[in-house]
Amino acid sequence: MIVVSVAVVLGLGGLLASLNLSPGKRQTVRIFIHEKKRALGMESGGRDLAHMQERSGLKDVSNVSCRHCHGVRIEQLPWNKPRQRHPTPEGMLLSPNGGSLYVALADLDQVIEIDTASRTIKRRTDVPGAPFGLASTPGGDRLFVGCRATDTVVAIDVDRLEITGTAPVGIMPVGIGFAQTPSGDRLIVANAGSDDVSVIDVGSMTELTRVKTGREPYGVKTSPDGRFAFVASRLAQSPKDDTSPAAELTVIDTVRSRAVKRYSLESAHLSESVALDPRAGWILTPMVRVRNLIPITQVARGWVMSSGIALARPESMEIVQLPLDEANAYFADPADLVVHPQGHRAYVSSGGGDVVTVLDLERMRDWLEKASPVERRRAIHNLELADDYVIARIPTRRNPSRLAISPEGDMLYVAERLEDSILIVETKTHAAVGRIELGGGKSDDPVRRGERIFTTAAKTFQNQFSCRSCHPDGHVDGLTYDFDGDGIGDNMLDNRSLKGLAGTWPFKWNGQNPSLAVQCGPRFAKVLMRTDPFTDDELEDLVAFIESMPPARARSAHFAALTPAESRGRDVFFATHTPGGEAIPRERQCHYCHAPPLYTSRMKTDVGTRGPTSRIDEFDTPHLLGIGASAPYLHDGRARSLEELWTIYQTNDLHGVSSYMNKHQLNDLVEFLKTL
Amino acid sequence: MNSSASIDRSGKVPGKLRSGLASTRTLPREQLRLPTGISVIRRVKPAGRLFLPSHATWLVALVLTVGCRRDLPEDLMVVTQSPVIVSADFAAVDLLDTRYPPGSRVVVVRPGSKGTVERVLSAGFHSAGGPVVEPAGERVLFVGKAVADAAWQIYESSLAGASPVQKTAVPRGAMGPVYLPDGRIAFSSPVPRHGRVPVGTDSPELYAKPLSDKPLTRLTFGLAGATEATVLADGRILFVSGGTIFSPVTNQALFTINSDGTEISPFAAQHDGRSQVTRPRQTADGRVLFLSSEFASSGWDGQLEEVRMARPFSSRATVQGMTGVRLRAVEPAGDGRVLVTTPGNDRADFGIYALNTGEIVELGREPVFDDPRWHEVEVAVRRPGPRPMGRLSTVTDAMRTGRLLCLDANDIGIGSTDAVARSVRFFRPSSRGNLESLGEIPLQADGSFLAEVPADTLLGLETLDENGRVVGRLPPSFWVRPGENRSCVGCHEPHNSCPENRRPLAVRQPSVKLDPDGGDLAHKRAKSP
Repeated sequence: MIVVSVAVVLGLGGLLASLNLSPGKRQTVRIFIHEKKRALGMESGGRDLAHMQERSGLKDVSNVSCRHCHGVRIEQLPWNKPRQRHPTPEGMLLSPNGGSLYVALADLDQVIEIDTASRTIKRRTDVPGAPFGLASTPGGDRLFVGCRATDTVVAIDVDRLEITGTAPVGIMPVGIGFAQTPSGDRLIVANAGSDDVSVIDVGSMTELTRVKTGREPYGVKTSPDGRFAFVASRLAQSPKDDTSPAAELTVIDTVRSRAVKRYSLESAHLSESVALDPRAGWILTPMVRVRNLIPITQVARGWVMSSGIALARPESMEIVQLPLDEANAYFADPADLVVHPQGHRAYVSSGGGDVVTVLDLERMRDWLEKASPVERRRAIHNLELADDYVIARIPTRRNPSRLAISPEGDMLYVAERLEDSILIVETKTHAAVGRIELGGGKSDDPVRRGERIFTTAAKTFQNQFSCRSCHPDGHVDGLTYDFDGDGIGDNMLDNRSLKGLAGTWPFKWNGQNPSLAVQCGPRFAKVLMRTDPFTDDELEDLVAFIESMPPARARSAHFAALTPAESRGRDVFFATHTPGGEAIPRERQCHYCHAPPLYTSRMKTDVGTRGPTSRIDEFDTPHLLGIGASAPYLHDGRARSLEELWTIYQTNDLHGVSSYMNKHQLNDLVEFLKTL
Repeated sequence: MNSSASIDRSGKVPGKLRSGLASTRTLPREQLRLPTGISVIRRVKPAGRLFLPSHATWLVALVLTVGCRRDLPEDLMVVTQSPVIVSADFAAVDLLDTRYPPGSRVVVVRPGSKGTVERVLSAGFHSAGGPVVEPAGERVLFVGKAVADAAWQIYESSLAGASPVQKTAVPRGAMGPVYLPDGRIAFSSPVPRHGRVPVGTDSPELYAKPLSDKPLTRLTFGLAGATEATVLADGRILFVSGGTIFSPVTNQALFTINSDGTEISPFAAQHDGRSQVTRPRQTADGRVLFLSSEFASSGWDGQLEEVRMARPFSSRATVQGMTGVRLRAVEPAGDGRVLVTTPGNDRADFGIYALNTGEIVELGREPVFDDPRWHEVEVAVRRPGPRPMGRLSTVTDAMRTGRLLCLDANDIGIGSTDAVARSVRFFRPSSRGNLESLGEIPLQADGSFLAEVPADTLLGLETLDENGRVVGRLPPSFWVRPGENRSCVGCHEPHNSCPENRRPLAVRQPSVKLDPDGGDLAHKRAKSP
């Protein structure tokens, strides 16, 4: 710090550049310099003061630095720089005869074929676009892969392991299912980014139609007769006021390509998989039971969230949610669920808990038969219930995600996502009998290490949840929370996306955290984790991972240039005058506070958005990168859509002059925002 | 009540002793040459000037922290040995006298050493026992009585054999030490008198000794005993209590608190019958083992029972195969084995045995360690491993209140009564031995309330219907720490229940601050429906 002080006083900025500092320490030094300059009056004196007052519209510029407006270049942000690539098994599928295991390696843009007998990688093929979900024909001669980055589904000829066709679909295809119908073979593709399902004719590899689903459809399972597809949506619909959120489990008639049933899973979200119980006919999906409406005064006894599975009875609309957690141990982030071919066992991977939980479905059915309606309704809250039907917890390496079970049911394959390996479990004994290494698993990459920290629940009290539990894939869960640190019932807070966050300091809605290291530091441990804080090394890796995430995407990859509506919306966003020629005050022009390239001024502003639970008027100006995918909006999540910012929560033109806009101009503006 | 409560009869540590305790790092020490020959290091506050640590202090610290880190076998055991023959003249004065009669000592032994003691840690003490090894496996706490008429205090030594350092100087004695995850020491005090049921201020409470020069921190407030503490892997303190000071020793049960005294919660064995519970210990396979005995029985022996962490309130059972086996202590060995102290098969003296685990649990045929000249009554195992999960305290010392949020006071679980409560009345024990009302607040339409209540005070509450009749009653049995925000699902809802996801009406308005001057509470049980 002496060196830094000398450098500051002497203005020797170059001296700092010569110091070999880690990113986290560099950030600390930057903050230190900033504060030193402020203390010495170097940042607000002379011409700078007038310039800054003029540009910021503020008299008191003590919280304003040059870097609020200058010096940010998108191409220099961490998420735009090359990074290490890892195999990262995201999707997994066994061939119908169980002889081959296909694994989608999204980070490497590859699909590999593993010979299950020799447990070695047999072949690999390039599949551009972050391959994710996998499906195959019943005969196993064709493989279908959803590619998240290119919004396509590709068909692969298995004999040659070559791409033979491509179909454009909705935004960010993830789960995928194959169905044989009287009308022909169909693919049901869950488009997480556009909240719909693409129905694809397999013969022509063309999209027939799209069916609206819940928010972020993720897991897809087709019925054995191909008649229906079951789609689990990962996020709950943004609730209105204080009503509890609910995720959707959609049943799609594959012949008519229509949704025929929509189950509402109360206070459930993060369902990423669907399975069928062949004996009782239940539809099963793993879920997180969230309790976001209750002040976070504690985390014990599942006060913030707990894990479970939801069972939907096909012949009715009944939903039963059953716990996976125990009274003193939690198994966070249930990722995938598969059912044994005989229907007596189910397996659930816990991405945050590093276990696979084995459920005895017969015991579960017995309990369901005997339970009263009230007991069934309250089952998810009973932390002593899982002991009735959980018969084993199989430990895994970091971040188990996708599961596959052999046709005979004797072997279970577990993708250990952040260790680049596949664990093989003998289902009869629940013993690990082998592991297939995919050629990664290195620990010399801070981003990879940071993601391991981000996804582990081991840092929270009793392993209750991970960072990912509220920020799936680093993004939002669409919910608002009430932290007790600033008062019980006060300051309901919208959960902000962590994607595209690099360079957008300060953090927190009140703008009080100057860096991600502070944001994720001891206070976070005290308020939420209820454990020891991250170590310095862990924090540095965690920040490296967060800053490596690019902004979320709300726009189809199939569009290159702006559409006419988007172009018109851009003109609205950058307008300095109304269409009638009236000048818009500069501080109320959209791009004044939301200044490119990050679309934030990094300053706190009072734009009249104070809400019913707010205790402050000034809020951090959020960046707008990926804003189209980040609903709800405003600091307290009052606005469920971008449109509502101006149609319901407009603030007499304080939050940008919008009163002159007609419906079309507003729609254009929203379309432009979705391109950011 | 001050959050850093002290521990003599008046609730305050005398200044001289407090200074000595609080200043172990900055004040000089004197060597107290005891009649038994041991030198006890004790800090005293000098008159009128500030002393810096002497070289000897640093030397002791160096020995404890560095010098002791020579290679120690991982399977070392620290054992309490008590003499097989106790003088007929001996009359126990307090509870620990019966547990550790004169001559009891703490020793280091190696398994399989056929009774050979490697080192005596409590050499020169009148009696000692209760060893606890820190998670790092270097240091040992034990409770010792320096001379016959001294109070029991907590001492720390190293497995490598450094001289014990006195860690407490509590007038009425300390017992049951444990290491907390952050390195502090917690213990129970006072040591109850022999033959009396401890009530009121005689009832032991849990305290923590801060690492800094601050006074002791009181962790429990007004329970009928808070003893036999151990630390769970998740960082909570698990301890035994006999209920509240208003219903003492009717049924001992297990409770937990966080390491700052927040979130007092029942853990297991409530409502399970009248029994004495000792030595709870968590195992790696998800159980808590403990010894249970009838109160009518004499001594410290009990039967091995267990609860499963997965469902602690409905899994209490005698460990299969151990029915009728008389044990004095139980200790997970860290390698999957469980060690117990018992007279064993046809032996007169206690020795250390491993339990053979299988479908039927049974005692090993041969002892792991047994010296026929001594009873081996307790064992602690050196098992270096991960320390329990830590926790940043949510206590704000500057505050005098905490807040209690109840989501629905009418939620008393399945099978609730039809009576609907409209208000809730808080009370606390008064200095005159009765109940003092803190005030009454209305329930919101959804049954919720948010109250600001005095901190570090044993609290109880009653829910009342619209006519003021008692609908439900929770005797004084909980507290909040300063600044703590405490929540509950309902009143006497099933244990280990998660809440519904519903925003309670009570949080839409400020919390109601209770008036401590509400006067004595007339007991209204007679009006209960």
